[in-house]
Amino acid sequence: MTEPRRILIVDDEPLARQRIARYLAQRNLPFVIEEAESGLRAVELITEFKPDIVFLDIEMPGLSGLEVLQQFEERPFQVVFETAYDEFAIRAFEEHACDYLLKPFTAERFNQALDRALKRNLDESRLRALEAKLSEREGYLSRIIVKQGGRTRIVEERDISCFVSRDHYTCVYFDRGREGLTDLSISLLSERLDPQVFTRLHRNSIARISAIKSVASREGEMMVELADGVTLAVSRSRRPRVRRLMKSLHQ
Amino acid sequence: MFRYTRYLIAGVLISFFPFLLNLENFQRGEGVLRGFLWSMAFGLIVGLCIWGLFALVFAALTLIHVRTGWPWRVPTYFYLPIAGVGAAIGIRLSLGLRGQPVRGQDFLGAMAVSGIIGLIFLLHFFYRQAKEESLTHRAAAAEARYNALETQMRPHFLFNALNSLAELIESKHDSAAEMTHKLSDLYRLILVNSSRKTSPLDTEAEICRRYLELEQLRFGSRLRFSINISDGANEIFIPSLMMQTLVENAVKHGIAKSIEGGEVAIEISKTENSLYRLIVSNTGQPFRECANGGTGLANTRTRLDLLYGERHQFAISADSAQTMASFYFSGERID
Repeated sequence: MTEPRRILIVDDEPLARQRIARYLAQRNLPFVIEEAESGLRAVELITEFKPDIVFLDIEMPGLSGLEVLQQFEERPFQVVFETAYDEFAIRAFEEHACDYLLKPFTAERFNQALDRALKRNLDESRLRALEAKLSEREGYLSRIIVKQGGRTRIVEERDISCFVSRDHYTCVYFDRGREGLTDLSISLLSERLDPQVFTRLHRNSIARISAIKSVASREGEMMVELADGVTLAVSRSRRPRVRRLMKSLHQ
Repeated sequence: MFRYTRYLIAGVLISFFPFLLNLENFQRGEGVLRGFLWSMAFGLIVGLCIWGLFALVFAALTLIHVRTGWPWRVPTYFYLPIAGVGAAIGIRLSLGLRGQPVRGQDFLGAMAVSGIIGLIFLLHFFYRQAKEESLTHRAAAAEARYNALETQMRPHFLFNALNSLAELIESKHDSAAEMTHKLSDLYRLILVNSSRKTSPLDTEAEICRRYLELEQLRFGSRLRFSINISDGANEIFIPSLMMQTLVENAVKHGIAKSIEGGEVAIEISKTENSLYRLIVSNTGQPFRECANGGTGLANTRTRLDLLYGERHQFAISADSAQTMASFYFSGERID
């Protein structure tokens, strides 16, 4: 007896979710199904429900399908993308051999995509390549899911002052004084954030350039103070860059 | 770069003609090659000096143009006949300075001929530029038409609606038939109205109603709407599909972007100063100036300017509670 496959359906339209759920039910296979009506809910469910396959609509309120994927460091699930009309995205899916469904789709086409997802081995590199291609259009990471106590919320990139890594999590400082956690590591964030806006200060921290208020030396250490009061150390190798940035900021 | 090389080569060629006309003078004097070089050098120098003066005047006029908006723009290729005349003067000087005898009619002839040749070059460049301009103009017009067609087709909306329809056919026949009728009504109305500049308000309101009903099927309880037309406003005309565009934007940016959804309200009423007022508001995600400058909005503004000139007012405002597009217009029929 194989374990039932866990499937998450992400779409903001109820009829579109119903359609996928019904096609899945017709297969008489052991599935456990969950539905998410928004990107935010999708991120929560991916963490809690741990799906094997995610049917992911691209255009959604709050977080888009791509932004949902950007919230995770590792993505141990198959993704089947869905779109109604997005030629750019479709070209990207074809190019990187990603499964996708073009709405409206037939039961046959749905089953093909499902069977492929059931058989296929996980391939993180394919997703990364797709992401790089799609972010040509979507730009850098602009919204981040942040956990605060038991709650998750969407935080806009422009409200964030810095990221500091703590053990297995990354601490996010935003809205001048609030604090939350994200699963994304510092090194992944420094890849996905706009380098014109954020700069790496240390192995364990990234700061918004425009939030840097002052730079001071203390006992041979270079310290940066941010507008919201957070103080961060700058590693030796990154000091010249920070000095240059401060110079250009004050000109 | 090529642009300027082109003018330079034309300038050199033009200064060559006065030399040919004065060939006789050179043959009598110091030899053809030396004469040619002298005339070329003087022709270019005097030509460039005159052109430089001309460019200064041109720059001054442009400055005036920028400051005042007076149409003082003079195209650069006027340089060509001037270079021709300059070359003729140059040769006259080159011969005269070195004590060579010059006959008056030779000089005038050289000036006239080089001026005419310069004029021919000018006409040629003028023609080419006009042709280029008309080509870019046509390309821009074609692109605008394509964009308009694509918007009119509303592909994203259409395919999502068809997806919902496919689901209804398999799960709920009666609603499926209803949705098919709404969809075909909507597209028929859009097709009829899109060929007119302004359309009767009731047909435009019907398009919005059908459209919103279809979107309600997709969004469920997230989308609520109301349409309110006050009594005196039923007979008026409104720019075709403009209201629908505003409603569609409200759904796309206000409702679809908000997890809780919201209400889209359409309101048309008569104001005191015999204008009509259309308000499309939504309580979804507040409006934010888009990164790409909002081409759709810019298109709407251009279109309203073309239709009504000064006789209208269009504005978008937003606070945390709602986003509101307001449009004041005469309600007249324009064909």
